[in-house]
Amino acid sequence: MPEIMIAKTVDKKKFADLAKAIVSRGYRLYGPVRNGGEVTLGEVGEEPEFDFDYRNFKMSPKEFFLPQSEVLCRFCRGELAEDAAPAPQKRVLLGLRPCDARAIWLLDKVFLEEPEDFYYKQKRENTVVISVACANPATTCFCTSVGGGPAAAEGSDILLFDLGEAFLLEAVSERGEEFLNQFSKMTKDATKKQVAQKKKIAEEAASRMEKLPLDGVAERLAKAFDSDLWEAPSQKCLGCGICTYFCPTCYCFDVTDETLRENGRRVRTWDSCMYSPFTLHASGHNPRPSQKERVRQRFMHKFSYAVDNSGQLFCVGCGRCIVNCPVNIDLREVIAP
Amino acid sequence: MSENVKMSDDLKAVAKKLFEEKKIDLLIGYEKGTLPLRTTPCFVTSAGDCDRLVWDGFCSNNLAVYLPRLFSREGRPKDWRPPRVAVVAKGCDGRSLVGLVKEKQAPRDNLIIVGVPCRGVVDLKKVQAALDGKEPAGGEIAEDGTLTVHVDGGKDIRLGRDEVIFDSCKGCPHPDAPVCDIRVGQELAEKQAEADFGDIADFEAKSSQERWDAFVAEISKCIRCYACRQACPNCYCTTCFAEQTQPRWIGVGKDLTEVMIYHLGRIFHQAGRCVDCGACVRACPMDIDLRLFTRKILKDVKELFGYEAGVSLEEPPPLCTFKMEDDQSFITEP
Amino acid sequence: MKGNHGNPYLPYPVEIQKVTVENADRDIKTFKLAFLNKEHEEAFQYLPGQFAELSIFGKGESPIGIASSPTEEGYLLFTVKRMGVVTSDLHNSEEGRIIGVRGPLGKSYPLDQIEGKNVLIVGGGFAFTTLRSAIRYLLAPENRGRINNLTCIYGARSPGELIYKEELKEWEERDDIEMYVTVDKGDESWTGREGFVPTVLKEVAPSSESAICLVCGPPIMLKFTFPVLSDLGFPPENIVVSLEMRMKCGIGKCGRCNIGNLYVCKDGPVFTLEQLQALPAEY
Repeated sequence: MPEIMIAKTVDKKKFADLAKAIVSRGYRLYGPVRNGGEVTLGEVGEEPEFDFDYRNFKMSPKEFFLPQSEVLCRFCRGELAEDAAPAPQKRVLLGLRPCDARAIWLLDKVFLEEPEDFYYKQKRENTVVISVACANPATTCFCTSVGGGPAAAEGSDILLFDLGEAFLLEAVSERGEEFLNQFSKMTKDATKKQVAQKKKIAEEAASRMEKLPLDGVAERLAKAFDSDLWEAPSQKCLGCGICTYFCPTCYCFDVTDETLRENGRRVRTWDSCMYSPFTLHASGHNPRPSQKERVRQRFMHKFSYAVDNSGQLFCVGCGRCIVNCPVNIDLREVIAP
Repeated sequence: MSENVKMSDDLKAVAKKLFEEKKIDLLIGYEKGTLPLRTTPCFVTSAGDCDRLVWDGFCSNNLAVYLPRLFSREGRPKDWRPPRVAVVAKGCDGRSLVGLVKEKQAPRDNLIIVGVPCRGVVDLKKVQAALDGKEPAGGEIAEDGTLTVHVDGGKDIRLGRDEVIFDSCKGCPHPDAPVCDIRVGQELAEKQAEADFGDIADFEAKSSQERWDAFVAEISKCIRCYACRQACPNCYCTTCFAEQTQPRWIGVGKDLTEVMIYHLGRIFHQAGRCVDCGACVRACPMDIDLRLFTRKILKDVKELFGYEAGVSLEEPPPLCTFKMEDDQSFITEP
Repeated sequence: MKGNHGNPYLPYPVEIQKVTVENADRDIKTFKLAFLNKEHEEAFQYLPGQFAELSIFGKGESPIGIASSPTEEGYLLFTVKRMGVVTSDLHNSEEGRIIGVRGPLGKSYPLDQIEGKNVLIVGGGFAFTTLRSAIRYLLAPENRGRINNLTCIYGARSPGELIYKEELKEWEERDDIEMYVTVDKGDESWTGREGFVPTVLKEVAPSSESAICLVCGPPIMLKFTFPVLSDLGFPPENIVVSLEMRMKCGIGKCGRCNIGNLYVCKDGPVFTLEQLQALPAEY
């Protein structure tokens, strides 16, 4: 559990000034942007207003580190073109929920492991993550059942709490501390009372969440490969891939070459284990020939194999897969004991 | 609400009887979902299991989508016999089933269509918009289609039928499955005469630039998840053209060109086949108005060939037939 | 694996120096590749059993086992069967063409565990490629003395389908390796052995004492070979196989080549039978 290094406060009325100061220091600032009924993470405008009264972003912020479509390299006449990778723009992501930040911490365990993923690393090193603690979890949230929490710090650089009149900003990483120190003139030290207040908010939010019976789920699923528990969900599953696209920790990707006359590029794009060509060999053999094997793979990967490989469940309890599945396949039902 | 309960009970009775008379191996219907206001597809294999079935205005999924994979011979042993399947079908689903039978994706003799009367299905995105950030805890649909939503930590909200049903349900010309083996409940007394393409005609009247801008605005939301294709009963190709590698027709990213060609390709492949069930729009997580394009195709097919998909088992699909009266203007006046 | 420009996704440029057709059907060719850049050659330190992604810009990449041994200096050999988009394009290549190579990837055969052991190599058909690498490596003067007996049983469907025909003949002549070459069915000019690989293995019956077996072949051959090895007394931890899987990144990131919690590209493609038996049957 990352230690809290420094805690500062900013009056809500002054927060927009802080945002402008962040931009003037050369950071690209992304914050909550309202679009009809949806809230997404987008570039904040010139006169930013910050309203953190939403459950969560529609899409997970993984696309900031692993874009849906990303150019790996360009080539010309069959040879690698000496294209300098674009200098990554330093940026601040403001408004993530701790579940989504935890997801980034989990993705680090895959992409920053040897050999390091060049593209992910560039983005990760140039991003400051300011998460906003949850006061109002949804009924489909279950972060506390998978190792997270409404005020958990994994993956974040700074945690923001809404104290009513002011925001409390806690640095929970070196990067976060360094960042906050740049704006020390615009912030005050948090008082003991304020720190106690934010603790209360976090505890209340956590207590409101239903705890799922997920203790020992990795061990249980490790024995469930041949179980018939996969029949019911896979019968309904359309193989549409929405769960994987919306999941903040799903990271499987495809690599494709695209050409236009003599130029071309090698791109990586989001892929999904729910699609049938995912494991299709050139010979025509497919180790996962039906939806049953594919549905099983998704759950086994997140709740069993990931634990073997990284020690952590690759689910952060955001509930997006549950809410967005067109046929209402509910993860909570599938992996219940 | 009592009518919904009666309908569900009637449906359960029909289903039980089919199993008891050993007429089917499997019945695909709906059961209560894990989220408020939702149902989920339900695969029942015995009379004892039929009590799970429900029928109400939350039953949105088009269940015909499951048939091609159930009846596909691919990878099956030589002595495999196709199952006998009953499908609970609204009007649109019933028309999808007719289409699948005509395209030989489901054998008519192995299929029992259980028609249920549909007054329109609740669009949860509209309910969400009306709730303005609050969560639903549950809800009921009255006989006249009014939806009462119980709000988590708040007062009930009432929404009229026209406020809350899917756009594809408004003005639906076929609330009952036109080909049906067993009908649960009454055929709905009032039916729409014809599908109304007025809004499409309005769109067609716009300038080329306006139409292009509207198309771009919708299509740029696409994240290439292929949910539209997977939810559509007509999209059963083993390898979709969008994913072919030999040759590779389109790229895989979010580039506007590729996305457009994917959608245009898919929509044109629906010509003469799409029944406007709305499954694609319901599945789409990015709220793309796919029906703007599919209905244009429907309108054209109606005008050019006088054909409506899924109402007749005998009428051959227009793109597989040629009549001397067919419009030749695309050759003579391109 | 550092990769070109320190990026594990970028291939090193290599030139196709020679193309050899290996079989009568003409759909298996061996490509001799040379690095354009000395630094890249030095960075590409590999051992038998590893593979690399052959990259053709505009088409894609294909994971192919390295057929050459690191004891063969100055070039890499890859034996490729024409299957899909990339391999077809590769097969249409002329000598002098520049393509890319990304690697070395995967785990090698456990050649660090063979000191003083007998080594049995069993191969079938086109899967013999990385076994060639192992044989050349073990026959090299600096390595041969480290092991005891070296036995190889290799078979193909027909004489025309045998690969590395010239080398097979050379090895048959040598006395530091016992070669048994067989075909399922001979032709008029075939004077050698006839018989399926598992059958020949049974006849030859090499000793399993203090022995390790490297086996590579089509699934049907493996199915009948494992029981024979078991009867001969080889425990599963001493039988080593190499698996194939659809791959893209080759470095354990894209998530598609896993069997259970192991990635074939990173934790494999070489596995002991003991490891394989603990994995779900999803390959």
